[in-house]
Amino acid sequence: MIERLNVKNGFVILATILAASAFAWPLFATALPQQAQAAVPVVVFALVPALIVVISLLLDGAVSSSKTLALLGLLAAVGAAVRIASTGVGGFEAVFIILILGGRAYGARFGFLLGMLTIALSSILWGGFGPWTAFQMFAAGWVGAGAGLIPGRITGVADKAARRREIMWLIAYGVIASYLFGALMNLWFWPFGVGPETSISYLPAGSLPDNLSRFGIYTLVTSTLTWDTVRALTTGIGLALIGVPALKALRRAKL
Amino acid sequence: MISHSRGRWAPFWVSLTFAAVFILLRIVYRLVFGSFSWQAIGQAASLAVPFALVIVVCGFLSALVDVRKLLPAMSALRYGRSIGTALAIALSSYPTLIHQVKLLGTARTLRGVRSRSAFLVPLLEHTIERAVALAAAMDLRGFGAGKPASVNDSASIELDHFTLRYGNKTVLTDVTLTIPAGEITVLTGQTGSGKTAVLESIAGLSQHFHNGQNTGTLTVGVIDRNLTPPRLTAGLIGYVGQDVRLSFAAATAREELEFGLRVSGHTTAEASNRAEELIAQFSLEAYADQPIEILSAGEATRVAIAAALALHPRILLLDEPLADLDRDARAELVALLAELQKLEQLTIVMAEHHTSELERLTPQWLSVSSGEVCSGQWGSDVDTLPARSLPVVGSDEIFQVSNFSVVQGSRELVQDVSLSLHVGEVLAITGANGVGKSSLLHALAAKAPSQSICRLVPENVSSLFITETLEEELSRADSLADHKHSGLTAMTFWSILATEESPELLSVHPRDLSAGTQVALAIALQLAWKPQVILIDEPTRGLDAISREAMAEVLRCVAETGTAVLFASHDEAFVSDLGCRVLAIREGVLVSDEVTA
Repeated sequence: MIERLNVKNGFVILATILAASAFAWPLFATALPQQAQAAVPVVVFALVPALIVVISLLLDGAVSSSKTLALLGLLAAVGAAVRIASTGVGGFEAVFIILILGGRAYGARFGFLLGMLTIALSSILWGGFGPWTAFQMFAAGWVGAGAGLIPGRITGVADKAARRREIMWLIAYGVIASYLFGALMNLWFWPFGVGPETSISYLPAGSLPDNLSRFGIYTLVTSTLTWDTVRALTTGIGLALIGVPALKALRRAKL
Repeated sequence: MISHSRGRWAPFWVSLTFAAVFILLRIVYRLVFGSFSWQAIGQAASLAVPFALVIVVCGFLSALVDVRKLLPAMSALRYGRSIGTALAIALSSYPTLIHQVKLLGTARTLRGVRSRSAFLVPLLEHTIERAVALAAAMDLRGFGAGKPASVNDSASIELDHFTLRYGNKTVLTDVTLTIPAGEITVLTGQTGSGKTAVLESIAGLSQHFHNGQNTGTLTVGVIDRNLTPPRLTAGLIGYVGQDVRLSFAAATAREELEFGLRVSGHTTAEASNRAEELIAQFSLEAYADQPIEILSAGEATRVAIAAALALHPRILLLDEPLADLDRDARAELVALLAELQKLEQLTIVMAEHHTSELERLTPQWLSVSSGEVCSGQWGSDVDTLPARSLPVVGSDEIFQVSNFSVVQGSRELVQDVSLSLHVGEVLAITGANGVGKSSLLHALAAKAPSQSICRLVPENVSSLFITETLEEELSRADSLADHKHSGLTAMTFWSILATEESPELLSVHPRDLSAGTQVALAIALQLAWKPQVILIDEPTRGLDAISREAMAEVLRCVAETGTAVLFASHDEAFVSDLGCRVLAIREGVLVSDEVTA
């Protein structure tokens, strides 16, 4: 039983690494032979949704209890409601609070699935399905999973100071995750988002350092200083305001 | 409600917008980070077209494929079933969650809380409560057990020296009893005495879902409950919980029935056929396809009973099914239970405070007190305080409305309302479920010139609570109402509860307080604003005989301070015992009620 679980976990990690490298395709596609380069985006677009399916099937058995499923479904609905309700102020901000708290309270696997399902659900309800949906599902899944993996997790009874410390960890994580999420979502999209012949364009024949610096400017100017900062602020402030009682509320349900 | 109002082609239009924004951004980048020329603009736009097309095709496809229709099939798959089920739960519970968000928004206004994030915590708390109730309902319907076997023999239920503990709290003590097959048994007893624990133990929830530890045995027919989790007895036992709405997963009654059947392993086609049968059998046609949150309490209970009987169980367990119902709905439900027992030889076990209506079923009466069960009816020898009379009504009129109507959507619920309240007066508004009592109260609260004159305690009182402990809640009320001296709300609370201050209670989560204490707390929170009028929606909801006595005393105490009390209730006995002025809503008109009093 334990061995089978470990093999499964190994596959989950493998699929995650594959997906992460799919996000970074602009950085290594240049190293491939010229004939193969044109195929890379097509492969990436097919690979990421396929990995979503694979990872869902791998994690399916781990969330089979009725309590986990009911929590996962209802929290995804709350996340989608928050996401759709806050679209007016830039889209993605407040939903990070739910993902981080969910991943923290119920663990990395739960957090990953919560992120994936929240994006899937809000896309179904609101429209906005696109080539980006699968990428968003992965990136949001990582945000939720990360919250379950970072240290300082409280188990059992804890005093107020320990709870505050835990929230400080989460705030720091939330801010970093906000920026990383933005950068990751920019990375795979960058060659499409900016056409050729600008100073921030992707160069199919360029060197890695050259492309990295161009990408750096692109992501800094188009999102790091704007959307990502708004997201980092709302996530950080939101966690500071409601983190302690919200985590306590979530932990009232024992999985 | 976003999910209902958006048309089928909405995703397509959204994708067109995205594609346009995408092309525009490419042009902007080209101009800002490249060189300017008209040719460059044209080139940037034309190079952006392929990816824009991909966006539009995605939008078109997602408009074409209705994921909602695919999901039931997905949750029936061998692999991917769990995630399919989670997504199905998410999709179908979304509308009721949006409804809850609105309720909490209203509650936030009623409490005078400005911060928007303050109600994310109550929303999460409500979500967790719902998730636990839903998960229990799924287990009871045989989730994960494959197709449940139907059990034909009538099974009696036997408890032998059965003791149940949650952590270090003993809930049931050495219970030995036999519940005969094919008959009706009613458990009576004070709130918190262990009635629910008996039902949950028979269903197997106490032992296998809530992590209770037990000694002694509990057998249902030949089945040993200690060894058999709820999902394996889905075909034998149907369960209707206390707050039926909490465990609803779907957006309509029909979908709720279908969801339950699919959870128990039926195919989509089987589920929809059986749901149709149940709708006919329980006469749910009129509201089977209505949004589930607008069903009256009586209708919701009927749906829950239909859902519980979907798998043809031999035993039906009901936890306070009459609690929220008005007189007509109670009579109707009692008739239904009598019929089920007579025609289908169902074994029915229920916990209930409203015992007078149940006499005609001639059930076996059991009385539960502090975890011990004995035969007979509880409550006949309860010591009650001698009821005091209401204070003398002052002559000053403090609240007055005339000729105004309560409208909901395009429908006029109550027309031409005229009423006035005097200092220290208590006024009850009665009427059947769904005639518009709550709407009238909300309308009156909105009609008042300011919230400082008139404060409302809504029916779902727990939506007012925003902190983690009773103590914090009381001091938050002081700071919200800007009291110089803190402790005022706490004083109000303990005096209307008529008990000594208890440090133990202060650290309890407001949602974990008993139903009566929650209402008392909500009243104290709203009195913190020192209103001249307090409006209370269904103050006796879910209360047993003793707590109802206590609630009458709460209302008397409030009136003695000079605050006028206007409350809505379908509890005629409570209203007539209180002896206050009564108005009734009949056929959309508010009339003075001397006929039934």
